[in-house]
Amino acid sequence: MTDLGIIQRRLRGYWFVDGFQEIAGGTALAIAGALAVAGSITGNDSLSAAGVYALALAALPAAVAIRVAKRQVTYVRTGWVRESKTASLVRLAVAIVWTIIATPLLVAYLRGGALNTGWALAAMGIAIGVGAGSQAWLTGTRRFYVQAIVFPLAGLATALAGLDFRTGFATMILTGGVSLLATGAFALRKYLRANPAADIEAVAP
Amino acid sequence: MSDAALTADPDRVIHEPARLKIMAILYVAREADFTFLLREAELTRGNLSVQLSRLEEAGYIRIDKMFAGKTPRTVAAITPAGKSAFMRYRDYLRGLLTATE
Repeated sequence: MTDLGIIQRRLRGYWFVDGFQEIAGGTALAIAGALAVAGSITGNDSLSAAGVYALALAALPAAVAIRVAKRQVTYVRTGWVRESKTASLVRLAVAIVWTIIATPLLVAYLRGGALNTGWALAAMGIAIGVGAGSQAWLTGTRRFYVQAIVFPLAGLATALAGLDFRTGFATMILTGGVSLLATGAFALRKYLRANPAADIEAVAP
Repeated sequence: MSDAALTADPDRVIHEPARLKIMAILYVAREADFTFLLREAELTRGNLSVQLSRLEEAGYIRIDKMFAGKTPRTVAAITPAGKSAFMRYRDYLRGLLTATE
């Protein structure tokens, strides 16, 4: 119990214990990916654009939804904790790495420019997979290893299938989104079973 | 072998196992509410309440009562004095273990 490293890892993982973040993020990615795939298949650019806008516009409502869900479900069952500075720094570092990887690729995707090759997709899939693996290890949340496998596989598959960047990118975020949604729903089900409403106690001593 | 490590007394406030658990959690977290500490430290409500009061009396933690929406929330946070005391306690344990190797 007094192993501070174990406590630190548990605290880092507590944010993900209920699966809400994955459900929200996975839903946004799956919708954006589905719209973009449909746009690529039908040749309807406005559908593809709608996918990108949906992803951007979903960020704020998703954050609010996660906050409300945690307040209504998680904090009354297993409590609230403000994580240590170290945990926040880890999350920030992961976010920065992902942003660095995603920004040039997203810009290239939107412009239809120089990075439109299947191998850019594979590289992006592997990079996201590495990020997910790091997150799994740092937080002790083993289900993130699913994304550590799914994203690189999706990236490699789209590269090997010879898809153009737009279709491949859309397919990858659709696949990743569905996997996040699935693991998030699994985590929420497990969490609610382990912490049923009947066990909720008054918060104040 | 260091005689000082063997003859020194541990901080009795932190030395008690339940309080040690609470202090370890709060040392890592910035703040935690009563429900979180209850589950994480695996204590009864009465025991947790007593131990939190003892730590607050020693000046090692700060307890705030607030509302999250309509729900009352009792939040505990370690103080600078509590952090120092916990670090001293860790050093004491390390010294003791080294001295008895």
